[in-house]
Amino acid sequence: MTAQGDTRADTDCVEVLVPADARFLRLARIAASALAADAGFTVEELDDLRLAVGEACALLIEASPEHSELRLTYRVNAGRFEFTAACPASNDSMRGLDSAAAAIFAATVDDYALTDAPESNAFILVKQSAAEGT
Amino acid sequence: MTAANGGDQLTGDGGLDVSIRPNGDGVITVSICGEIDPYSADAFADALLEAATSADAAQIELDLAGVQFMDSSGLRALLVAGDDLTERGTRLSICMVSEPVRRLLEITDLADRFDVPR
Repeated sequence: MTAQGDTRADTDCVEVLVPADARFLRLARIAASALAADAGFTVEELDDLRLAVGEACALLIEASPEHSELRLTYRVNAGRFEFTAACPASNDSMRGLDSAAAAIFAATVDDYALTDAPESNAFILVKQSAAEGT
Repeated sequence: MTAANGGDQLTGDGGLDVSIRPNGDGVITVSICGEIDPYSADAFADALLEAATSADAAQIELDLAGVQFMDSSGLRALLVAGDDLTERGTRLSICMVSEPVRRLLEITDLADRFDVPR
């Protein structure tokens, strides 16, 4: 596992590289929760972020070949949390979002997008803290 | 999954703590503590089926107050286990939930299916 951090122009950016294995899902969620908490997100917003980040990473891991790596990028700026997860894709096509996953993303983040490419998959999540928006 | 504490307390794979407690009249309370995600969802499902088979359970009450996190893999495990238990003649309900679990069940419109207390 490797991690890098960068703070420029009020933007915190942290990159973490972990094995694409379900054992590391908790770490992805903890990093999201810690960074968002530091940026003033509420407890409810942190729970939503943990749920969305975990769900996105689980989808990517499920569609990845063995021994691949999952690259996690967290960016926080003025109450805006952006999360990108990218992972190599296996030959099997990626499972689409089932109704539960789609409902989770719709309820927990402001925007989300899944990029399903032949050799790699990526997930982007965006959430704005309500406290910052008021 | 290994038994400890008089066979009542179980520590499951994936870091889940599972407690199975008979309450009489065929009702068994299964308490789960930990985080339910793809790493631990199988252990969660196994715990429910183990509770149903270890005693002649007519009903399983699931206490999820100690679950700090659950995602759609946990929901799928819950739904599959619920169907399996129904086929065995065992009813599955949820007696207590944490806020993250309540939120997940409400988001996915499954709170009523498991009689989640309000």
